[in-house]
Amino acid sequence: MSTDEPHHSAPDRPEHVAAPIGSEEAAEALRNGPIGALVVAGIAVALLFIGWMAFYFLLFLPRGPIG
Amino acid sequence: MQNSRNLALWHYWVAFGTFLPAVLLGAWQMLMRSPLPAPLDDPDAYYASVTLHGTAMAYVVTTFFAMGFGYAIAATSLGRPVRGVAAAWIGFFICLIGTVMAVATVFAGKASVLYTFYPPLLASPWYYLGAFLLIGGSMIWVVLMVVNMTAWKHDNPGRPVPLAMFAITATALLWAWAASGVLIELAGILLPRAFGWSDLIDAALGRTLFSVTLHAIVYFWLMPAYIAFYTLVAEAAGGRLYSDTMGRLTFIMFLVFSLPVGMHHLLADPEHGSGFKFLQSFLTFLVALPTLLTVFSISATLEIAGRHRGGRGLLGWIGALPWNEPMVLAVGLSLVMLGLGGFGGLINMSYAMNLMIHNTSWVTAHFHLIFGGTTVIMYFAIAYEMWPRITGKPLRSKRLASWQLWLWFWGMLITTIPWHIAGLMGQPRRIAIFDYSIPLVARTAPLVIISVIGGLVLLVAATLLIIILVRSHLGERVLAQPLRYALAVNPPRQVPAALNGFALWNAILLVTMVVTYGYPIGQFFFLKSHSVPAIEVTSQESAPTGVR
Amino acid sequence: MAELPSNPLQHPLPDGIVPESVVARTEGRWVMLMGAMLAVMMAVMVITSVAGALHPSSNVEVVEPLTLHLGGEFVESNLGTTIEPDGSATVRLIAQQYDFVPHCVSVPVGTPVKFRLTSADVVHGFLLPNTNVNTMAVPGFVAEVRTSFAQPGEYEMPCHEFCGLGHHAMWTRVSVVSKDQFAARGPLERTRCAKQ
Repeated sequence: MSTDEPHHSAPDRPEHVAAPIGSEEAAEALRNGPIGALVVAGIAVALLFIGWMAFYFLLFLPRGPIG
Repeated sequence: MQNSRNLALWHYWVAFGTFLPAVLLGAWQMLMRSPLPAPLDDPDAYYASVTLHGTAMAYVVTTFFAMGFGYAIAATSLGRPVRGVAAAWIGFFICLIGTVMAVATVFAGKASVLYTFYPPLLASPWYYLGAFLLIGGSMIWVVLMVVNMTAWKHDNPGRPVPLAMFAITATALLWAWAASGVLIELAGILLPRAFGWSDLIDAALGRTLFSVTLHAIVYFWLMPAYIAFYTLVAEAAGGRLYSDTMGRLTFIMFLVFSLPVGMHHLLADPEHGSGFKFLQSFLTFLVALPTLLTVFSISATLEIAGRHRGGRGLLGWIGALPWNEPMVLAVGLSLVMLGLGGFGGLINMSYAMNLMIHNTSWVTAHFHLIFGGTTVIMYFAIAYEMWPRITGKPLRSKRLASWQLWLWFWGMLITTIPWHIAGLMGQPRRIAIFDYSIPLVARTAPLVIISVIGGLVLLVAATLLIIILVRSHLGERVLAQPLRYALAVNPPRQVPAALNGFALWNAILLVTMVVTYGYPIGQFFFLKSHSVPAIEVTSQESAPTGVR
Repeated sequence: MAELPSNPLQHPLPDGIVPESVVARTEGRWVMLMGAMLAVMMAVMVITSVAGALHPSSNVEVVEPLTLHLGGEFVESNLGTTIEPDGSATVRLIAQQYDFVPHCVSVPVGTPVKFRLTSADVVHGFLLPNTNVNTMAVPGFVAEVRTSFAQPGEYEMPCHEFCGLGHHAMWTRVSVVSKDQFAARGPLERTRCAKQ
């Protein structure tokens, strides 16, 4: 076993771990939380929701009863 | 990557070597069903082609790719040689023999039953045997993934399994569960009848067994792409994985929720009651959850990279990402297609709303977009990462790779968006020749032609993929960097056993499967006789009896 | 990208760049939001299904497939459209390679219609485009769907489940006609395919 600090959940050998930015840089990037991700994912999911509602009430139900 | 170097590579060669001819068949099929003239204008050839295209894409490309990726992950993430290489090669050859057997039989026109088999239609037993060897042979891979992960855990007590290995083992277990349906259908119903050892076929039972496989298999296809999202993108973009825990939870949720939902492929079938259909629809909503969570987690992961590269404001991080990196570009394009394709999936699973699109072209368009688009574009990106690492020969041109990814993206949208619309208009599936004098059909003609153009773009993109891979392979060997997996924002020192192994989840899944499928499958053994004679799909007189 | 910083793994890892609890809380909030959205969609589905009696065919009725023509509900003289005592219509069809029997049917507009179909050989499909009438004809089972048509019209009706090498030719027609027109047609005329 290597004498390095265990690479918790990262791969077992340092050369297989990607650490392209250091801890301070990562903390800096996340200073305000992942607000951009919330915006992008939020808009995407909102579109999905609205689209589903639109399909359900404007396309599916008007096609007639089925039972 | 020493002892398994060739192992992964040979699996990829089979996968991508099968891929290009399969795309060619698909492009021809699009032309055949359109109002435009097509070479070899023969319905029998069409159905054989659909069978071949489906078998290749759904069983061959995907299984070989997953196996190769699994061996590559085991070799790189665990820091030690892969165990069971000899068994892995045996498995490879069993799968290869099965593939050749199945492909040859379809090519000879003796198995035009489509990759979903459609009992009581009956093909040559060599097709079923080939499929059985391919799918059954891959179970060796499943065992090896579990063995490798378990051995590592044993030698590293208390430590979290590297996420990539955890995820690919989840994928392997999912595949074993998923494959059980089709393997039982093959061994219990189709092979006995095809070899003449039984007389009748219970079509309803066959369909229900297959439905166990049919949805879960798409997650088997999808999970390697998600593994790339969680473990490979961060390095390519220059960031850190937002949440390792969410990665583990995602793969666990896929394992548990992908299986007890297959009945949503049978919502329009009369052999199951509303209760079980509704139950499985409800569970299908749950399998949407890991995807919805992944979208956020991966956006956050990319945001870290983008902000570190100088992106400012709410959305500036998007532009700051290194879009010239194939992996980053592929993820962006994949997520767009995931939004569109995922939307289609939400429509399909919504119980009665399924009737709006069941068995229309909407379904075909949906899975081409979500599988051929979202998933397969990540397969390309993984190949662009893997090939240089394994062979030591770098990608000759990242620009060409970017072009290839963009072409595939646009080709997929141009092919599938009109196809979705045609489905809403009522265009049925799996039709070799449309009678464009029928008003309903005539209205879909312009859409079908646009899809043909999309298919040609896809063919160019697929050819470009092979050219890029071959050219790189023939290039100079320089020392390539080892494959590097993402480091999380909070690399955990310890994870709970439930997030580090699968015993609990397998147990939960067993109970769930018994509850959701026990009665639906068991009922067939108690219902009054409903089995029927098999009907061989031979080259018959295709002259329709119902021409007006 | 600028030169890589030194690999932080060569030094001991800090105890959380952003505290794990913060990450967990953010992810947890997103999970709740997604769960709520899915719950709303499910509620819409349940409520409209129950209120509008929207169900795919789920009657689980077994029928002996090999003797359909000889006796029972699907004998030839009983196929096509029948008007029940309560005024509703029942349409019985058999699907087989590669046609529906009868080849064309008509139904009256604005009337509750019940389609009952089964297959004599392999699995076929039944679709009336631009309606929600969509079901499977599985040999050994009867599929029943109930609907009503608000407008008269002609529905080109394809088989949409691959049923063999002649599948592409399996198209037929359902005509929805006014109640008077329907009443004026005798049983034989109701299954004529020529347009009226």
